Amino acid sequence: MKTNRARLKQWQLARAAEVDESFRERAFLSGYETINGVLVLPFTLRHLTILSHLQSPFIYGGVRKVEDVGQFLWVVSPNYDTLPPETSKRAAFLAELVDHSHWDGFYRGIERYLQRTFRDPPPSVKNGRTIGVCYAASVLHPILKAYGGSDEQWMDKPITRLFQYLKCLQAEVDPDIPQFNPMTDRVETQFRD
Amino acid sequence: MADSITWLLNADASAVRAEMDAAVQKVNSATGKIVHDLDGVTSTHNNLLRSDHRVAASLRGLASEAITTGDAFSTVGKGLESLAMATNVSLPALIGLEIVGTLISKIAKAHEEAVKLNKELDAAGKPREPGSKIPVAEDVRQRREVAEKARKDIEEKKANPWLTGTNWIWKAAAWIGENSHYKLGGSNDPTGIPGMRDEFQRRQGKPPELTDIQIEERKTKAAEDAASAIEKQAEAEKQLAELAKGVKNDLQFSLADIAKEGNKRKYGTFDSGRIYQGDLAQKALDEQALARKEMMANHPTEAMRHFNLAEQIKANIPALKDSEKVVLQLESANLTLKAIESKVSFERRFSGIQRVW
Repeated sequence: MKTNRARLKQWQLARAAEVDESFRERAFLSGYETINGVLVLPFTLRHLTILSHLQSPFIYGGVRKVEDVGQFLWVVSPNYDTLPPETSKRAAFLAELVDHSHWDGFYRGIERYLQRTFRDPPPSVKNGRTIGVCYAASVLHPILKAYGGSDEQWMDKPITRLFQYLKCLQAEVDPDIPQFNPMTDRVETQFRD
Repeated sequence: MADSITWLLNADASAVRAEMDAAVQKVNSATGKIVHDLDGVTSTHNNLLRSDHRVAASLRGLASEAITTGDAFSTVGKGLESLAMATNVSLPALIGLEIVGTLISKIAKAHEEAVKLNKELDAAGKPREPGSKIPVAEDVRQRREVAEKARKDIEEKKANPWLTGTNWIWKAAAWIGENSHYKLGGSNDPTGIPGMRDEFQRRQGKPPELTDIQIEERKTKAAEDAASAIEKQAEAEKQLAELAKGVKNDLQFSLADIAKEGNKRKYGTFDSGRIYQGDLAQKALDEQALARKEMMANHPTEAMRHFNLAEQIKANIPALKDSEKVVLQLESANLTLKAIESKVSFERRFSGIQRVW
């Protein structure tokens, strides 16, 4: 006969597994996300590379200024382009942005957006070595090798999708590698004590 | 810094700021008043972010350190924060494994001492009843005084049996009896013949009856033994209370101290394959230390194996689950753990700010 605690644990584990599954499936559904009501694309490797190169404080930490919010949202916007200023849609996008009624929400919104992106990374493995390439190359190399395609094509795929492919490749190499599930593991930890 | 690549990315911060300022000017001139103070919002929110967030600090590790490693699967950087993020085990939980292990070994030892004391009390003929009042120093002192007085009384009567009470004749007779081979009985001698009572009892299959003096002596000894055992138990209770206080004072433990403490531990003794309770706790503690070491060395498979083994061992320490004292100690350990969590959390936030400036 199960105790109340065991039943509660079972129920919470089932819910946690649903949440984990839902997050992972979302990576494969084409669509947009929103940050404080502003439409943005899922965070891709290209976005991370651009913002890292621009040293965005949302990536590197530090004081966030008004233009940093504008910069981040412009880069992840569906309307982002690299056209010259006279033809770019950047001015219009930023004009609409400054008229937003609730600017407070952008900071927390961007934080949560990034947390969702990086909540489920593949675990690091032993015997890793340092080589002289950038982060994007180190992520794309095993994926291109296994699945083919072009690097430009994979740069625009959501990072959450790339993480899952990396986990599959890891499992092929080392079937015993432990699997981590953010919500399920949290419930297990709570009920362990 | 604007360079050709930044310009090509079309997301230069200064250009973005200029366009946003122009847009704000347009809105303000259209409405006739200043409706947006974006810098004010920014400064307020930066204070909030400094106190609450840690994503940027983690992502900084992700971006800058992972870039330098270049490992195909190293998507997170080094350091405990990144490790916690990679393994999805919270940092306090990682530390908590070590803290609880330390406490379990200490508690197991204290519990052993308490069990021994209870056995001594049972042997002294006065077992401590569950839920009975724990004797305080005053009780122990009083018991000692009573025992001392009884002993002095006996010694005095032995030395001068003529002196006190109406039974002095019988005391004298008892004294004589003790110093000769005849045994003199008490008032319930059925034969009326001196020395025959014990023989009569023996033939009846009963043990020889004790003289009053012998009874008094045995009572005194039992009272002394009980007082001594009670005093020892009070001392052990006091030590447990100090241990609880010491646990609460362990807020200053750093990770280095925990690791150093772990390195000092050794295995307990084994006897014909049986592992004693204290040794079980010790072994669980060592497995946890190995799990932590493997995690720090980026060996998650080995780490999980050690951790699972530690959990199995802990589940096989039966006495720990039933002891009320252990529950109390674990409660104080949880308070310590929460305090350490907040301390670690504060340090992480603060270290994030230090890296910025």
